[in-house]
Amino acid sequence: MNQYVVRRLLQVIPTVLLSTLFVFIMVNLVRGDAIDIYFGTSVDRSAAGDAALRAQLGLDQPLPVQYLTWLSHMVTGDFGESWRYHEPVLKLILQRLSLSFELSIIASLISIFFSSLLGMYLAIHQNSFADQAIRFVSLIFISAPLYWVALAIIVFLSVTFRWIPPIRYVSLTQDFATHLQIIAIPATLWGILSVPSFSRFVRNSVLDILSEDYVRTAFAKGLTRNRVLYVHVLKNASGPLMTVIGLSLAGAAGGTLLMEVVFSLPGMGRLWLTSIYQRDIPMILGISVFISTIFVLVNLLIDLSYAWFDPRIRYD
Amino acid sequence: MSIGSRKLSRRDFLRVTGGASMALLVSQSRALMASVERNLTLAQSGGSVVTAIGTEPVGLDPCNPWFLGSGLWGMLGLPYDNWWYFGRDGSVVPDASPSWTRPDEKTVIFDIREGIKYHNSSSEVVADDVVANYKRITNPDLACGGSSAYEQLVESIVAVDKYKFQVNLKTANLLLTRIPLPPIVDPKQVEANSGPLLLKIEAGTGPWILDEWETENYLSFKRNPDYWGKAPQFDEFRFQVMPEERATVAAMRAGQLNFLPVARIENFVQLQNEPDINTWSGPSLGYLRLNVNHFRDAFQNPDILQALRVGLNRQQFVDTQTQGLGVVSGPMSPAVTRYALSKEELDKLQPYDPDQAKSLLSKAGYDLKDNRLRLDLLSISGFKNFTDIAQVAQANLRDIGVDVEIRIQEVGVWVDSRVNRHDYDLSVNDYGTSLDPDYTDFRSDQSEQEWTGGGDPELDKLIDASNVEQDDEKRKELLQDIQRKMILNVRELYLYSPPDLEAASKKITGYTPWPGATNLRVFDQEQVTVST
Repeated sequence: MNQYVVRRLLQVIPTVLLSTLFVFIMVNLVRGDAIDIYFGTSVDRSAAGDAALRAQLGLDQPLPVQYLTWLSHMVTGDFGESWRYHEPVLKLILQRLSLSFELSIIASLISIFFSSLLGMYLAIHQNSFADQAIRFVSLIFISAPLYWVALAIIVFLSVTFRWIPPIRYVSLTQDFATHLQIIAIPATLWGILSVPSFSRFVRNSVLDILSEDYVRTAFAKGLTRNRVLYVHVLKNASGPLMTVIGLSLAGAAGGTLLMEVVFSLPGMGRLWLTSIYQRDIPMILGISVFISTIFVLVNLLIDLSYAWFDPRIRYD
Repeated sequence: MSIGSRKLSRRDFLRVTGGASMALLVSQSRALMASVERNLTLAQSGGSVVTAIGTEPVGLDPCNPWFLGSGLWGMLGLPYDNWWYFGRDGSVVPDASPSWTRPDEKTVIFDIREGIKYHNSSSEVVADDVVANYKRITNPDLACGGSSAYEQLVESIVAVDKYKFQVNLKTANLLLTRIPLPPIVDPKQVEANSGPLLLKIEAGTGPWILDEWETENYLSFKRNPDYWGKAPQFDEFRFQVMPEERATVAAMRAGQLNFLPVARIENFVQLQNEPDINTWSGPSLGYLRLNVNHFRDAFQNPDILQALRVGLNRQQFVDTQTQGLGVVSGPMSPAVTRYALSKEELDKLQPYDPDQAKSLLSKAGYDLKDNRLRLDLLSISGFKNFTDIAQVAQANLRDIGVDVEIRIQEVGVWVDSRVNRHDYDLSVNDYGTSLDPDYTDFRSDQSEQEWTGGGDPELDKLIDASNVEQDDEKRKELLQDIQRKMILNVRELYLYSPPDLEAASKKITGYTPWPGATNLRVFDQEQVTVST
């Protein structure tokens, strides 16, 4: 097991290297560079100004040199300075990471909790009116674009209650109550909107488990219904759910971006988007390092969780 | 926010940092009275004006080029003083420079108001600072916004004495409003911050001092308690960074914002129905246009250009894009009533005549069936109004036998297409005029012509003449001739001027929209109060 974990952790290194290299190539393949963004169609744009800024940013070097220079600094923990914000990349990422993390984690917890309950209920009441109705409503939720639903909620709150979450962001440590007001709606909304799709996985998985012999045995030996369902069935049905949650992390960056834009939250998603628009290569690469690392680690945790949910799985 | 507006703002700022005329001569007793009044006002003042911006500035340095992402959006006027500015009636109002003289046709000497102190410093603004700022802004390595104007028009700027500086011009009799003057920035701060730009700090003398800046969250300015001029009555001017305009409308309703310049007409209409919000719609100084790439073969044929001129239904743009609140425009916003062509003349110069357009295209060898003219039209992703405009243009031109392919490009790609590759036929764009119009950007030797072609020596002569003509009636004729020539030569295709839309909570009193555009610097802040 330990060897497996170490092996997976070591995979972070090539994953990060390849992802940053891929991102670096992609950013440089896109037409228009940081100089174009900075000067744009300014009437004062000149060849001398272009060249001076190019040299200042290191863009006058060949691409391999640019990448290797960045890499050699990165391995020492120096992620460079953002071209757009003129602040250390690492500092900016750490500032934003907590908010995006918090959003994702709260949304995931809400999603897992309600998906499990709903999925279990639908499986137990398979083909009942409630099952049919909820699955139909779920389809509507699944089809609803997160961005538009979030906007609709903001408009609804402002029209009906003359209230929206505070637009001036404060961190958890600055003011807990205000922070809670700011984050509650986007996190809940994001979590709730993923319940319909996740609950379908739970439902199908629970239906499979319910037909297993050991479930019949559990009932036969006199265990209560709730004990059978929530201890034996749900635990065994959670493996597939974890797979879905793992896959959904691929969309987490997109989800947090949408929430951050609509609710004016200064998180990683907006930082990433702005950096891409501005061709802020140190910032883009820095965020790529973090995202690819987090991605590998979360997937490792999910893989390890399989063994906990199903002791038959061994990683040795 | 539009690119054109930024262009306007930069130009405006540079001009506004220009000198001013008029007498000063305030007696000691009046100065004393003013000081007492100001202190009384400060004692009673309070509250915050909270507004939203979609993108935060790169930094608060007047050197920054004014382009997408710089997001300065007129904000520079808060911490930095102007040498003079345009008053509500379009006249020149002295500001940091109380007066100036012209010893000869190529020399202007500006006085500096005594006692103007830099923020967070005991240093006073003196002539040597002006020279230092001139040297900085014309440093080719920095490529500061406005540097080309100095290169073209200014020979040198030198200190005459502690409170006087002299501008030596390359052009004789250049109008005051054409003279580029350096921003008022503390040279010591520039030196202390060795980077090329003053980032996230400011070193000005204006009525507002940068107080807090949380990246992508907000920027907050506090009132300058020692301001030499008319002090604002409220305590804080805060800019929340909010990328989604519909969220800003919700924040206005919820009372979290109390002042909002609105870009989208549908959002403005929503706010008009709010009982606790005042709204204003007025003519703006900007206009929408289609850049024409004169390097393209198709546009070497004048019949094609003329067909495009008469093939666009400009009133349709006004109706669909502004719900009738905008106006048809030529190459100057009709809001500049003194110099803009009349509506009647604009209608004659750019009529909607699809039959004539078809006939011109037929003469050029195209028809409505098998041999239709094909053009591409650039728009920018995220600029919804640009794409809406592109669609109306596409529909108009389809009717006259031109098939338009709309290419929506990410902004960096759009810049590359226009500036570096010249790879486009038409491009949606906007532009801002000034209350005192200047067509220098459209001279043959300006960068705009490098990207679009279409420079015209005859037009250059008119532009040069308009920059030095002292007789206002004659200048008006020159400026109107320029507009006629630009329309008839299809320098670009001019569409409409959008309305300037603003909303403010009824808790804000004393605010009157500035004619032409939101102008934060001359917000009449000394009259604006905020109930808390």
